[in-house]
Amino acid sequence: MFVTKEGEDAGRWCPDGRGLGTHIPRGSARAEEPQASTIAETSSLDPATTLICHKHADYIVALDKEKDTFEYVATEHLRMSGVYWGISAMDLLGRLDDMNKDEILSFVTECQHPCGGFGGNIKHDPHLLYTLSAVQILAIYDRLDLVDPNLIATYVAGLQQEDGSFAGDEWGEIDTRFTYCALSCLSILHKMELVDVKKATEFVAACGNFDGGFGATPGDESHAGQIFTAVGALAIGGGLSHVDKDLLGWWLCERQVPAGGLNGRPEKLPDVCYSWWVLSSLSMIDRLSWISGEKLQEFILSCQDPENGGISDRPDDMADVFHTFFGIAGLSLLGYPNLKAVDPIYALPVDTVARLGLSRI
Amino acid sequence: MVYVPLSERPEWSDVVPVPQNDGPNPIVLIDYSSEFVEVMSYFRAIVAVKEHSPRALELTKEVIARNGASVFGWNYRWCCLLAMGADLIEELGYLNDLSERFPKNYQIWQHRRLVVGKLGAKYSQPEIEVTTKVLANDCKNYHAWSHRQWVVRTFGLWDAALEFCTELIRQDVRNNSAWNERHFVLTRGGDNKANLEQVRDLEIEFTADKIRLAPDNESAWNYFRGLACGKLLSSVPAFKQVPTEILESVPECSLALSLLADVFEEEARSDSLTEDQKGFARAHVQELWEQLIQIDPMRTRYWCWRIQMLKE
Ligand SMILES: [Zn+2]
Repeated sequence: MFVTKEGEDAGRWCPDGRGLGTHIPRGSARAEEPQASTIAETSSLDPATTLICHKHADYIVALDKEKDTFEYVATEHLRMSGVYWGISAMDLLGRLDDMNKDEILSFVTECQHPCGGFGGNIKHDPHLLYTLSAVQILAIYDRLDLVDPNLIATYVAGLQQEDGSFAGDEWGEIDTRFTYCALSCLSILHKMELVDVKKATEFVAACGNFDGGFGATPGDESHAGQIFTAVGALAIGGGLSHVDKDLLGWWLCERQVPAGGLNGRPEKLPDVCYSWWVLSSLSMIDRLSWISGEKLQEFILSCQDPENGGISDRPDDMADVFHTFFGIAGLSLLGYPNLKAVDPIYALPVDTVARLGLSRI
Repeated sequence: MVYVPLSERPEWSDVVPVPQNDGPNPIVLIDYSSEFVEVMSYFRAIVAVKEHSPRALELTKEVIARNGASVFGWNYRWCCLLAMGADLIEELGYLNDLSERFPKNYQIWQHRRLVVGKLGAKYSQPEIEVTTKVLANDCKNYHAWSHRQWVVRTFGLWDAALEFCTELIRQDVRNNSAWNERHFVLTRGGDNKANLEQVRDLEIEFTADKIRLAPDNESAWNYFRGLACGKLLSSVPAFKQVPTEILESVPECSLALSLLADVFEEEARSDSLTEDQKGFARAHVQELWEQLIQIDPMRTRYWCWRIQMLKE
């Protein structure tokens, strides 16, 4: 679901600089080899107004085949989340069958530890972030039968603290992101009764700020990513009454900048991934229509790489799988034609959420 | 520094390294450097026998230098420090260097918290200074702010904390993190004398001054609204006076218009006003929102929703 728990240069929310190639101008780090057929296809679809679906699908399929690229090596510690972004995007595009299902499922099960948690890659330490990604992947493939839900749920429940918060792993970083991961995971596994949900939502409420937003821990600054996790956790835990919907809705709606994209905090640049965090939060509090969907759609489409496929954080930066997924998911929430609908709370295709019996009434 | 392989260092000659077991068919090929592979092999050997020694402590440095996010490495280092009763002040020196080089690494901040928590209040001031240094380079670093709040709360350094955000706001009036810190200090200071409700008039003055410097600064306006402390906006005269004053010089200031509209909307709904007064407020707020639709067309649907809600 989220970028990373680690990496000295990695941003908490959006990969900045290294790793996923973000913020690197397109073409500066990767050799571009335009192909005649590609250019011909491009000219028939205008990327300024159209989502070039087939290019994005090809881009994602290719990512997993090019195992010697810089991006592949640099992101090995979060491979589990990378797989989740990739297959979710493919599912929304209606191209899930193009992914190597058997290889992915055996990778996922190999990353599980005896404690129940999953690592970001084989032999990596377990963490809530990757445990959620693993559960999401299994849910999309409808193969939760491959794992023992009680074992995973016990691992997740064991990370709840006295004050209701959740640590990301046994070493104890506390963050509303982890509350979201825990509740989403347990909800998908139908094991919510293993934790103190009321205390969990009260901790999230304590992270609320005067501007209507939420931070990572009580006192921390409001931040669009943290707001997604806080509101998502409250939505799953039945605590949305802790949200001042009009005040928060206004703060979120102010995130839209003249270029049409949304930023994560005041005075920051717009970014495709923040567009998703803000948009999904607005959707969860029934205020989606407050921003200009048309302008946001234009912004996301302008971040497509028309030659190689993939979506970047901002126009003309290098594409990565993280922004490709959140770009497509954002367009899906905006009702873009011919995309599967995405659920704003679980960041999963709506049909997956319905199959799990988790749809909102 | 040139890396001397552990296998060639005399102090490690008695240790048999434990290689990573990837199984017969690893799906994912991970290209670790050979140095990293060797360091980890020796580290696994040390952990297996729970050796807490000076050389084990040195080895965790090698692990951390190659993977600063290794919770395993950091945690084992802390276990060694405790078991050996090591000099934690020396440890702070090591951490200071790392904090400045890798200010976004959560594990370093977490480790500082353990060390300073153990050393006690005497070391709280230098801890504040480390965050000051980091924030001077990146005034929005989320970890540094969070760590600073921990130090302030744990050791009760509220007065200096307020001065600090005053200074940061003076340097950059749009620093949203500093405004958030200001609210944190004034509302979570407990029975500290600087409690938001008691100093509200001063805060209104302070914030109004900053708004005058940059009327389009969302952070200051949000903080300003937060000074209502949950009470009605219309109960505080400044919430009408300040936006009105700003609009005289900047008639298209959408943040001023929206606050003023919110105040009039409250009045239009108020039970304590006469029908005439309510009618005036109602007409006025309608006018303001229509003006906002012109100035801020991107949020047209939001402003229309507001107009609709008042009608209902
Ligand atoms: Zn981003």
